Amino acid sequence: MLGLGIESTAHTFSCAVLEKNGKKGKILSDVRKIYRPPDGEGIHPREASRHHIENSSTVLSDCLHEAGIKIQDLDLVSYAAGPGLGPCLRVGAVVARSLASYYKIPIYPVNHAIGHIELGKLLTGAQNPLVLLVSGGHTMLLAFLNKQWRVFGETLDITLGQLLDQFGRSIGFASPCGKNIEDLAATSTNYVSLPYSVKGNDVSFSGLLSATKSVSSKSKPDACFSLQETAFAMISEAVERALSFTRKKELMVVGGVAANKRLSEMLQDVCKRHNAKFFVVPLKFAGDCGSQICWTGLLESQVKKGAPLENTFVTQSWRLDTVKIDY
Amino acid sequence: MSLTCQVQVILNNITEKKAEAVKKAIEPDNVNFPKGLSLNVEKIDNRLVFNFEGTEDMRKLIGTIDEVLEHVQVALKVIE
Repeated sequence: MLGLGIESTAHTFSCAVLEKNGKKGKILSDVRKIYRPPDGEGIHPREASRHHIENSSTVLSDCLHEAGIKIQDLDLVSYAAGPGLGPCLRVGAVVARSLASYYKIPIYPVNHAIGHIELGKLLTGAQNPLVLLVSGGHTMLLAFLNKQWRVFGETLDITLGQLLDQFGRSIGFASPCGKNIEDLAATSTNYVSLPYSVKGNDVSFSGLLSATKSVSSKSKPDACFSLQETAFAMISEAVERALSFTRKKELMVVGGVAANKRLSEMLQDVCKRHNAKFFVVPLKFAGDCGSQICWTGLLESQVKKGAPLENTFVTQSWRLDTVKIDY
Repeated sequence: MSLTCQVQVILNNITEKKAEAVKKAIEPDNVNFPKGLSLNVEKIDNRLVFNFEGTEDMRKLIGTIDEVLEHVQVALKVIE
């Protein structure tokens, strides 16, 4: 079975073709174009959507060419229907609906966050993990129970990705800033005390952001180092509590911030203490990509027919814990 | 005095099949419009007719026309 997945929730416009044979999936192509705002500035939804509009047809044709298939070969098309930025989501939806309508292909609206998790499971082989989803749009600890992902803990304000991006932009980096902060943090070992806020199973990063900005005027490397150590320690504490409570024997980290090596290092230590296996999504598929959407669409097609076109909406604030999972 | 502006955009010279596909691609997003703004899309044979109407805030009307026409362009590009 061949599927096309379209991702356009924020910075990235991506198309991917995957082949599904039983429970196995193979990525035949995954092509992306990423909107880069000017240095020091955040994402502007309308500017990002214009970027997606300009690049959508090229990304699609490159993706099909790389996979060696024609549109007519596809068994389904899936698109990220939310959560995300409205103008960006609508571009991916229009591309998917156009193909579905013109070529009579079944269409599947997919939750973007579920896409991160399902592709992570496919690529890492994790069976029943506690999931840490850390990206620009999410900071959530999740466990699967009774056909739904349940939120064990989450951020009370900004996400971990927003924390890194907003701080990075304040010192002149271009979004996404995670890699730049990680590199600069590696040049310091001087820890400056910063606010540490874990409330029950939840975390709060807004105070940490303000305090780190004030430290950065003295030393940017110290600020980056201390920010990472504090934020990741908060996440590690929440993960440790969740592993202890749920008794899960696997931890899987997905989302753009999963690419951070220091975060992985700290979480591996947590897993050792709890005798749990540690999985992290491969770097290439940590950020947003069409493969996540395509694989989830292929999984959904096992248990339901494509959506009627008139019901293929986009939902900017579509929480993953409202999605029933029957496959 | 309230200002009401109507804008009609007609897309000619496309096949009936393409006109139908574009209409179906655009319509699901034609919901939850801000107050005073509306859009109606009609397929007449091989033509697509977009009727926009805006009251008071012309920037919203212009922004909507801009986005809808961009989406039409995307839809036509990916099915050509």
